[in-house]
Amino acid sequence: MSIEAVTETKWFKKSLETSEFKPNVLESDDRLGKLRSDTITAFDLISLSAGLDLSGLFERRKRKETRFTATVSAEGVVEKAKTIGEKLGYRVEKKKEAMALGLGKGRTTVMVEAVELVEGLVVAEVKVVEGEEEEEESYWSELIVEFEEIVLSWHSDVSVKVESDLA
Amino acid sequence: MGCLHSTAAREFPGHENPVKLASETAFSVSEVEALYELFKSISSSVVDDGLINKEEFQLALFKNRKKENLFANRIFDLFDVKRKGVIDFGDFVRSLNVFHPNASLEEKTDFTFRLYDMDCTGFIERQEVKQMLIALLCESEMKLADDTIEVILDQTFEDADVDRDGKIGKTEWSDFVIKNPSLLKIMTLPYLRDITTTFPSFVFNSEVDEIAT
Repeated sequence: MSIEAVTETKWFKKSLETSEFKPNVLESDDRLGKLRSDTITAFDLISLSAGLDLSGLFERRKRKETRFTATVSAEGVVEKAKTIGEKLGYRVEKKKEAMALGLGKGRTTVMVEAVELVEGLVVAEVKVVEGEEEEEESYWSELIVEFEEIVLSWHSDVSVKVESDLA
Repeated sequence: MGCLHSTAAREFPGHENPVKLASETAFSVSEVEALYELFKSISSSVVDDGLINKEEFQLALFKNRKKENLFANRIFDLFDVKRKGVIDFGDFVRSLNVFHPNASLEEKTDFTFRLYDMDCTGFIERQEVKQMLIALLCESEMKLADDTIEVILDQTFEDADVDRDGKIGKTEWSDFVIKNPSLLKIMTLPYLRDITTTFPSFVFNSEVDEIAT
């Protein structure tokens, strides 16, 4: 997909919207969705830092989330997520945004999103947006392991490793 | 002396008066009281001294007290208004105020400018941006070719550095942020609107609200 074509998608156009919103659970933390690869600036990338996400101050526990560089295209990531979801018994909900997918099981909802940051570099994010602790634990490890085959490298700052790494 | 309000609100011995803090920020008195509940839990997590130190901040943010992060350090430094190496309750409330959905664009823009002006020269230099970009790539183990990094930096300065002096000044930053509003996304915490639900302080403490209703 060319950079121009990507910027024509509704998802990238969303990056022009300013922030006032009533957080819909599935749109709540759309940091990846804000990136437009033709005009990406250093600050767009810098804004992704976990150190600049103060929402952690208000959360009693860390919600499971991870980011990785993919070996496939953004569409490939979404396709894979759909396959995994179906295999593990999740309800699959294609989002209005081009490269995003919601997976639901029990009381847990997981968002999968992918974007081509610059040509050839695809970054994907998998994150639990709703769920309770015990369910989240078991669902997460089973889910994440399925993504391995399309992962080039996990991004360690936001990754919650399968083994607990609490201080 | 004091008017009826101030004697009826909770007092937080050793900390700034919640009514005063509410009057200077976008928070209501009960929201300040809710922030106090949050502050208490963070500030007592490692050393119970009524102050947030760097480790406690890291613990609250990352759930890992040992996790060091360049950007979290910058945030900590900005919250540490009096440069004491610790964040007191007043600092905490006034700093979080900038993240309130109702805080002005100007306040948020100013905060991000100071955040990224790491060496506090009054300008965001290309070298600083490069350093921050590399720090982000390191922390997330995202790999970008050196040329790509330079192209991104070029693109950034092409956009932001209007007078081509190799650095971004306050006015240039303001204009840049207006063109790229998503850069302020990190400066708004929707949580702050519902703070009294997330951190309820007990009913018998919110006497000001009872009098008002």
